Amino acid sequence: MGQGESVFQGNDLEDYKALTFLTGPEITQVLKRFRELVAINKPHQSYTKWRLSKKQAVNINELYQNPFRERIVEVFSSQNDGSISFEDFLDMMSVFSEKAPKSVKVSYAFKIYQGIYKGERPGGAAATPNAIDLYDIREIVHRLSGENFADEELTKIAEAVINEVDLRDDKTITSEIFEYFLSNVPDFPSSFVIPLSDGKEDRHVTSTVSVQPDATVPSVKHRRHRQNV
Amino acid sequence: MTSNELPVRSRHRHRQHRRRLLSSDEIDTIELDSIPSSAQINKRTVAVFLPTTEQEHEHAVESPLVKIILRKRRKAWAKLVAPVDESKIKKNTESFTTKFTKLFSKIPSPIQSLLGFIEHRSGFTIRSYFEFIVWLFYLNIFTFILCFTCIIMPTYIYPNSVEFSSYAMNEYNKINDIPIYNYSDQCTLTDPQCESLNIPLSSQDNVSNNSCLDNSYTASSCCSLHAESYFVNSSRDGENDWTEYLIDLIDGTGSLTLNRLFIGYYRNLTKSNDDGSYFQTYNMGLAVFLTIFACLLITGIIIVRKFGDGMRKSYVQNESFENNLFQYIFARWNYRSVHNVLARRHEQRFKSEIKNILFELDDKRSFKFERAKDKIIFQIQRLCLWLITIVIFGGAITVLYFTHRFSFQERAKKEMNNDVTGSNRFLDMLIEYLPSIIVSVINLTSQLVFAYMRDFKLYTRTSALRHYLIRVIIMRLVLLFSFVFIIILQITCNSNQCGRQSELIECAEIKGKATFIHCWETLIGQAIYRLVLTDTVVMLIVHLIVDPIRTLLRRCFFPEQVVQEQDGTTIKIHAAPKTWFLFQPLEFEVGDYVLDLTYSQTLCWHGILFCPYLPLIAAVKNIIIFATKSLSLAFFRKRSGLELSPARARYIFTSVLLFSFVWALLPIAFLSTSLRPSRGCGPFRLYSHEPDFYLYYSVRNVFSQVQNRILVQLLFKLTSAVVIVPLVLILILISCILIIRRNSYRGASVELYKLLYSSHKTHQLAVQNPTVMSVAL
Repeated sequence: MGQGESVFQGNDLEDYKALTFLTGPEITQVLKRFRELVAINKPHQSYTKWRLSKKQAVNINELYQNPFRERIVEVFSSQNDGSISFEDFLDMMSVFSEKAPKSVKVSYAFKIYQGIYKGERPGGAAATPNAIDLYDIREIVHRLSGENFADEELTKIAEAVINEVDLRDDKTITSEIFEYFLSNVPDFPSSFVIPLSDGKEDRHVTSTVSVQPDATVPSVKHRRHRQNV
Repeated sequence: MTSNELPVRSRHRHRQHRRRLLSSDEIDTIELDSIPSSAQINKRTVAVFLPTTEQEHEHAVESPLVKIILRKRRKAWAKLVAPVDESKIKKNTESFTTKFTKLFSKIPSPIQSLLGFIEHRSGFTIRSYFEFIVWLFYLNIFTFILCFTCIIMPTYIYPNSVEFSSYAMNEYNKINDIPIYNYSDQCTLTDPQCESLNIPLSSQDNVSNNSCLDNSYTASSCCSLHAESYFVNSSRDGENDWTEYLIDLIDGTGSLTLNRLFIGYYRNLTKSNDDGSYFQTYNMGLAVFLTIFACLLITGIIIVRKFGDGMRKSYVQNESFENNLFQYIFARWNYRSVHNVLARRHEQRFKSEIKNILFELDDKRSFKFERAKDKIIFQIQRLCLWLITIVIFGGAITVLYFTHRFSFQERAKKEMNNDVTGSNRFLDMLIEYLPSIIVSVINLTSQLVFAYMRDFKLYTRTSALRHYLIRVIIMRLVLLFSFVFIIILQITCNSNQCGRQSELIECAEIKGKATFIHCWETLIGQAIYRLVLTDTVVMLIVHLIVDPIRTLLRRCFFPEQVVQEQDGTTIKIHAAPKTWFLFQPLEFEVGDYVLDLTYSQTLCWHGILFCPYLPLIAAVKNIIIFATKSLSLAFFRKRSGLELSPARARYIFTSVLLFSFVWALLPIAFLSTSLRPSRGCGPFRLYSHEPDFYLYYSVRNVFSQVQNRILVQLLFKLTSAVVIVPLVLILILISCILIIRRNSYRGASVELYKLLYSSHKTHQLAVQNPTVMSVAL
């Protein structure tokens, strides 16, 4: 086992209980799980300094099959390089728990989906702040279908989506629109949940694949690795 | 892309700000700009919804927010303004029932593990179908327990009960001092006045001095004895020979006629001492009526609640949202899936769903014609489709009518020639079963025809699917309705003195006015019993005989081909060319199976008044259905491409069930208010001397025992048609008002959203700092 402790310092447990949606035992479980995950990094004594690099974080078992895993890691990470500390991991597990209210999940979903497309946009435009635009939707559909749609189909789908919900006529989806339409879906809170895994199939210690490169480059490497498992 | 910084300090600060906000006394004064949203930019922090509930709970025993919520009972649209869930605030008080159910759900039950296995193997939609079967099973068991305790068990508790009418007759004669030698043999079977029951009415002379049948008590005992002797005659074979008994069991006639299975057997039960000092009676008529009413009421409430649960969660949902792309893209990925297989399956499902929606859009576009002539031809084609449907309905009803008439006439012939020697028992059984078999055959063929009609390109895919479901449901319900109605016609043409009804139609068509309908309640019970058995047998044949044969034939005659399966893997299957539609690989059609299930449940509800054991039979049938379908799923059928979200599946199942339930209430209501109960059998036989006694009068009669005359008159007026009809109208009006109200809530929420958005935008324009907005995030 690692060198790190699994005991909370001082008032931290109370603080964490107040700041997140998890109960005390659940927070302890999260700590144990995180200790397992950072074990390969030979962590410090104190859990506040434990770090999981971005490359490792996208390959943990809870996120491995998720098509949005890099974006999730980016959203929850508090450092510039995208690495995950214990508090970030706790935050993530708290938002993805079953007790988090719908409004929290919806706002985090919006953050994850927005800005997901990192490639070049024509015309040199920057990514639209605070809104999901056409390219983001194309990227989302591209990933959800396992990269099985052609380009024209992607554009057609993205335009159909925007036309459906665009009340402002500016071809983007802002957060209010997103929240409003997503609150109509009754299943959403129960599907936006990531349970804590038991660590039997951790791949982050063995995988050699780097973080998925930009979306414009077809990621054959990524796909091959998926089928190798 | 800047990473989001969330230093703990700023979290605290934001939390305090929110706490101050929420403890203000009026929710109405919450300003729109203080609603946290990601569009509100502070340079360092991104707004996060952290609940302050636990902190609040520590610092204040009961926060003012809770008080406001309890007092104002905030409406659903207020949640948009201050989006804090009520349940988050009252987190610590879990009701006792919640704890109880949680405890129960921790016990591992074999059914749940079986359902989990099915879900893992075949997806969620099929699992929800099997869950539906289990739920219906519990409903049937509950109904049966209720019927058993109130209707069936008393017949065991009061063994050897004295016929109430003879007892009452004795008492009546004792009170009125009629000497005993006058009534020793009166109105028994051998009495000449009772013998007139054996002759059909048309050939009778004037029977003016038939005093036996005028008095209610004597008429009841006369007719009961007559009916019993007739049934004893026909059941003699069954009691001696076990093969005969088996045939009787399948047929529902013979020795089973006067059995606890059908309601003709039940009557008022009395228990008394030998010397008559202690007397206790059980009013079976009242018990039957109230029990059935309670069963149906509870069933209706359970179904409506289940239906309403789904509706409550999506109160702003418009009908057009059911197929929208937004939901499929943003809300369908299940974040829990960590297995490779599940993730691949999700991808495939996503692809097919999106493709379906794209096809829909294409279809809609292709339905726009430019020339008027094309439009007219298109509309005429659609109209023809519906006309064909109506023709099929009419044809089915006609076929059913002629079948019934044929069967009725055969039975009448058998009754008229009383020499029963030489009649084949199997032939009799076949004739009895003929209407039920015809009903099943018509259902199957019409389903095939409607499935073929679904593939025409006249409607979009989802509309075509919906029309198909509607047609199949209405076909079955219409057949059931006309089945019961034709039997009612035959009953009203009955000429037996003991069961005379007011004639509904001219009875010339139904030849041979026979006297064999001694007990119309048992007759209807037998007909529905046979329908249930036929339905079960047909399902078993299709799944256990036809499926294996088709699979075998396909394997033998068609070569193996490599086919891309839905999971992305490639398997080898024997594929036939597309035109040989009989030999295509079989699919597990969840939609059709749900319709079958609701049809069998509707049969149970139709017959519950006439056959108290029917819920038990339906529960056993549910077990058989579960076993057969899982067998078929494991070996012969593969999952179909149809995948529904959990909420949608639940909505479809419960709405179909609710529709069938409402339809099932109508025949029961008609039967209990328009037909007179028979005098010779059934729990209502005692009261039938009055010219207009109907089943529900048994409840009214209880009121007449109240001593107060004025109260009795008042109660009688209350339960007459004068009050019931306006009541029904008012109920219909209230439901219309509720529907209108729901639509207006939807409109209000859309307006509120627009208001929210526009006011927020105005505020931003007023406040925004251009340098902040231009910082790249």
